[in-house]
Order: sequence, then structure tokens, then C-alpha cells
Amino acid sequence: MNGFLCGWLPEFHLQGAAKHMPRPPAIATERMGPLEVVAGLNPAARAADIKPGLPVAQALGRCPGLLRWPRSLADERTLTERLRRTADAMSPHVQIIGTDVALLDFHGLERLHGSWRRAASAWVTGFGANGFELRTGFAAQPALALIATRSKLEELPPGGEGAQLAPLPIHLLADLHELTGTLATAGEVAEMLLLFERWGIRTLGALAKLPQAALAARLGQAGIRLRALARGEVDGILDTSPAPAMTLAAGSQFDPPLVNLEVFKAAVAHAISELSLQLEQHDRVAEYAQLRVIQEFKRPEAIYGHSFAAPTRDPQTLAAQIGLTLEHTPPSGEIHAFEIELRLARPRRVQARLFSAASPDRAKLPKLLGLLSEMFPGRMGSPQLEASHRPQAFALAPYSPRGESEAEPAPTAPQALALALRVYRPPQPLNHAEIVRRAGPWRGCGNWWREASDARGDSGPWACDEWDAELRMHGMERSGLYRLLHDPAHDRWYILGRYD
Amino acid sequence: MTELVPAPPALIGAGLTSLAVHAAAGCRGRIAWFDPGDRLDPCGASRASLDLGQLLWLRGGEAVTALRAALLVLQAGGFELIVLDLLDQPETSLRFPRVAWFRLLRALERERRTALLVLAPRPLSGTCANRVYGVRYVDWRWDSSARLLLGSVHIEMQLQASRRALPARRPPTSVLDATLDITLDGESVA
Repeated sequence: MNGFLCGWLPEFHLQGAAKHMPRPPAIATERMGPLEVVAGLNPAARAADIKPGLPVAQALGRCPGLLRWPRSLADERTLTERLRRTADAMSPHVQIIGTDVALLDFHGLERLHGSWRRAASAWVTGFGANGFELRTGFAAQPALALIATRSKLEELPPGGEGAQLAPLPIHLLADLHELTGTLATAGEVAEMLLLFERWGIRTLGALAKLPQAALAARLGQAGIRLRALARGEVDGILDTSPAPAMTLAAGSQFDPPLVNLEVFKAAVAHAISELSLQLEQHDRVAEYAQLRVIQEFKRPEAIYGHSFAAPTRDPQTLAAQIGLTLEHTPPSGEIHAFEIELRLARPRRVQARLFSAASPDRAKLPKLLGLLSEMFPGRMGSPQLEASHRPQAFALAPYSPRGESEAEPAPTAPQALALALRVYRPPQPLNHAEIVRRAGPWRGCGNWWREASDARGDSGPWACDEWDAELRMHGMERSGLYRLLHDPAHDRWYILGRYD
Repeated sequence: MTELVPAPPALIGAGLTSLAVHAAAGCRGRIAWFDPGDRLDPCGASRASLDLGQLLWLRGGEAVTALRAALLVLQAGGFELIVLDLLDQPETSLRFPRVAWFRLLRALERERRTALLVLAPRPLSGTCANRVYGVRYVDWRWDSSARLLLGSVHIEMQLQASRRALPARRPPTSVLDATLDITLDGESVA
């Protein structure tokens, strides 16, 4: 049977330190500053409530008979080399992942070793003869072979991987850092697993049933990867490419040197636009930029640093903010070269509500409002009602919508459709109209205790009557519904608005 | 993209704004309301349960500016509903290039989470709108009680065009002739 065989040395640090897998409670220790802490442990020690990172003194308090060995990097290297050597002896195609996993391509090796079970058994026996413990697994794909090993299933027959994996606990994914490490750190995977648990997802089968699009909207690529692992749909070779670098750099030299700041800003913007493509590829955003400007001979470099309040990968935003920094303190003299370095961060994804998708546009809102404020100067915002019965008493406040993490207001009971008014600003004098029918009035007055010219700028006293009326305008065949205002002080009639 | 237009024979006013306010009141996310005529009544909208904190109201300006700004909002994303109120605008200002509507449609299809509601005196977007509804008052009722000024208004919506019905060779007449009767309650002043 063709496929891939995986061998894994569990509790690698402990096996490396003790040079065998001890059965009684045992730990490998390492120095961390002034403390000696637990670096590796066996299941018996784990059963005694001992965890990695625990100070050895506390571990001994929890289990007085604990065996311990200091961790030895040299011994661990020897063990890894032993794993490689034994794997090389079985297959010409071997991949060592990390220090404790070996993957063998088993295609065409059945005639040499018999079945994969015989080869695995011989491999395990070889390690077991020296007291080490090796676990093996077999599957049609390398990643699945690793899953089979870690899950103790030993074999995942092709075509039925999903069904075999379905009953396994979801926390198995936390141990598959070789497969998830390129998309998320161990901490992020742990957070996602915690989130799944809150959703009631406790097995790989339950995770596999989640809809892909909704999961992608909430957890991104890492969520899709975890779901694919749960479904046993990982194919091809292991993706062991290193995580993207934490910085990106670009630069340029000028001959003849630049003296115009605008031209220099354009050159920086061009470099940033190239870097933004790489940011997109790595799914990262820039949180800090450092610009080194190399000026005339024997003059010190000018260094500009800018920390972005909202990390972004938008080239225009990045260039505009660095451009503002340059305008604030422009380089003096000729510019011979520059180098810009971006410090990267993971893009922020927010999902505060269960039934809403993650909103990556939060950072775009200030930019959008800035653009709109140029198109609607002083005429945009969020209306806020004043505590007054005066008609059309409201103020326009800066738009600040509810954040994603803020709770929505409690839903109000569904109301019947209410008639809306199209308001005339200012109210139009009522002239040449026939009142077909009217209803009212709704009388109101306020601020009667104030002077007309209030020093604080508040509105002075007001009084008006409101009427609903069906009006037929002069020269019009059809009538319409209007809200009328009557000013009793001057006995004037106005049209406040039209019902629509 | 949905377009609401007055259906003939329209009285002055047809209930378009009421329907738009009601649609916005049903949203839980952000709403952008482009109002070149500066006609929105925030007090009435608040009484209709519209969450004013989520409402971005853009008042005045040219109709074409509103159209351009609506495209910006769509491209930025994050809004659940965009209302483009082009009623009460001079006819000359409503002659937008057809490509402008296609750009809006493209942005809507890319965003997929935003609805665009256009209030217009006549169908403007051509084939870009998913649905075009004609709306008209059927009648209104005055309430003589002291609590209400205007009792209720009976309006009728008629589906005038639907993009989904276009691919069929013979669109079912029941779809195109579907009517929806809605009763609008007058404002309570008590």
C-alpha cells in the first residue's frame, strides 16, 4: 500500500535527557533565569498535575517521588540524528520536521519491507530495544500521516480520513503545530480552539461540518486550515515554509541626487506600493515604518520613524502618513539614497457578535470620513436629537458608530410603518394653496423663560402650532399631505414639510 | 440595488421616504443616507426606531456628488444600507452617465453585504437595479380623535422591473404585476 509513514518521538525533551522513556513520574528540567523549571514530562507526571514551565520545586511538592534529569541539547541532537538515520535506512525520501518527527515516503517500498506495518513495527522495536518510545502512523498524504501518529489512530485509510477523524477531540489540533504554524502561532490556535469550545464544537467532526465561507469570514485562513485538517482534506507535501519575516525593507539610490521633496515623496510612495504587495502576500500589515535618508557625503543619516495608529497595508495611507512626517521635518540638502523598513503585524480581525462576519474595514472608516468631509464640508454626521419639543430640534454630531465589540442596543418591538416627513429647510411660506382638509393643532412652546438674545447661544422662546393638512397647490390638479406650522406671534403660516 | 419611484398616477408624495426610513430602521449596522435635498426628518426617523447613532447623514450638495460619495462608501465597505435620496432634484442634475450606475453595481457585487436603496422621481439606473418598485398613495384617512392628526395612509407598491425576471423568456406576469398594500400609520402626537 502506497503512502507515507510518520515516526514521532513523544516527550522528546524527556527522552533526550533520560536517554529512555521512564514510566514512573519523570521530568526534564532546564534553567530559566534563577529558576529551574519543567521542560518535558511523561504522562505519569502529567497525571500528578505537573505542567511544562512549572518550577521544579513546586513539581516536587506535587509529586515527591518525581524523577528528574537536566535537559541536554547535545543528547537531543543525538536522538534526532538517530531518528534520521533509522528513517534514511528505510526510505530514500525522508523529511525531518523539527526535532522529533520523521516522514518517510513509502511508495514502492512494500517489496523491500513487506507491509508498512512490518516496517513500522521494526522501527518501533529498534527504538524500544534501547528504552525509547516511538509512535508511528500511516496515511496517503504526509500531513495525514502526521495526524494519524499524533492521534494514535496509526492508520488513516484513503477516502475515509474524515470519518476516522470525526470522533477525535478538537484539542488534537493544538498538537499539530507543524501543520498550523505557518498560519497561526500556538497561542492563536489555542484561542481559536477556545472559541470553538464556546460555540459547542468539541470534536473534529463538528468542526468539519462548519460552513467554510462563514468560518473564513470569522477566523480567516487559519480557520479554513483547521477545518481542512478536521476533514482530512490536507493534501500534498507539508507546508513547512518559514513564517514571513517580521520586517520588510526597500530602498533606492538617486544619481543625480534629489533636492525636491515632492519627488522624494513620490519615490518613497513607489517603494511603499511595492512593499504593500508583499504585505498582501504575507497577510500582514505595517505597524511601524522607519525611513533612513542618506544625504550628502559626510552628513549623518536622517532617520524618520512613524508608528501607525491603525496598522494597515494600504499603500496610499502608508505613503500619506510618512509624507506628512517628511513635510514636518524635511531633509536638508541633497538626497542620495533612502531605505524604508516596515515592521509587520498580523491584521486585526474583529468578531464581537456571533452572527456577524469579521469586519476588517474598521481602519478604513477614518479615511472614508476624511474623504467625505471634503465633499460635504460641515454637512455630514450623525443627527442627535435635542431634549426639546421644538420642531426639528436636533444637532449634527461627528459620526462615531457603535464599535464591533460594543453590545447592540436591545431590539425594540416591531412598530407599524410610520409616516415620514420630507422637511423643507427653511420652512416655506404658505401661499396660493387651497386647504382641502386639515387636522390639528398640536400646540407647543418652550424657552419662554429665556430672553430672545441668550448670551449662551441657546435658542430663545418659541411657540408654534402644527397642523396636518391636505393641500392643493395653485395650478396643481392633485393634492398632497403636508405638515404646516403656524407662528401665532406673527400670525404667519409655513409649510414645514411634505409627507412622503 | 433597489429603486423606489412614484407610480402614476401619483399624488404629491407617494410614501417613498416612509419606506426608506422603515428599511433603515430594520438595519442593525451602519447606514449612510445621502440627502442632496436635505429633506430627512431625524425626529421622525428616530420615532420610527431608526438608530441615529449608526446613521451617517450627508446633507446637501449636488446629486452627482452624492452618487460619487456613495461609490466611495461602498468601496470602503462596512455599511449595511446606503440610501440615495434623489427626489426633489432638478431634472437636469439627474442625467448621470450610465457608467456611474454600473460602477455602483460592480462595487455592490464586490461588497455583497451592503444594500443600496435609490429614491428617484423616475427609474434612473436602467438595468442595474435588481428591483424597481412603483409606489403610490391609494388613499389616506383622517382621524378625528384628539390623539392623532393624520390617521393612516394606504399605499401600494408595484414591482415594475426585476433583474431576476429578465433571463426568463416569458417572465411570469404574476411577478411583474405583484402588488403590495401597505398601511402607513400617522404620527402620534400625544
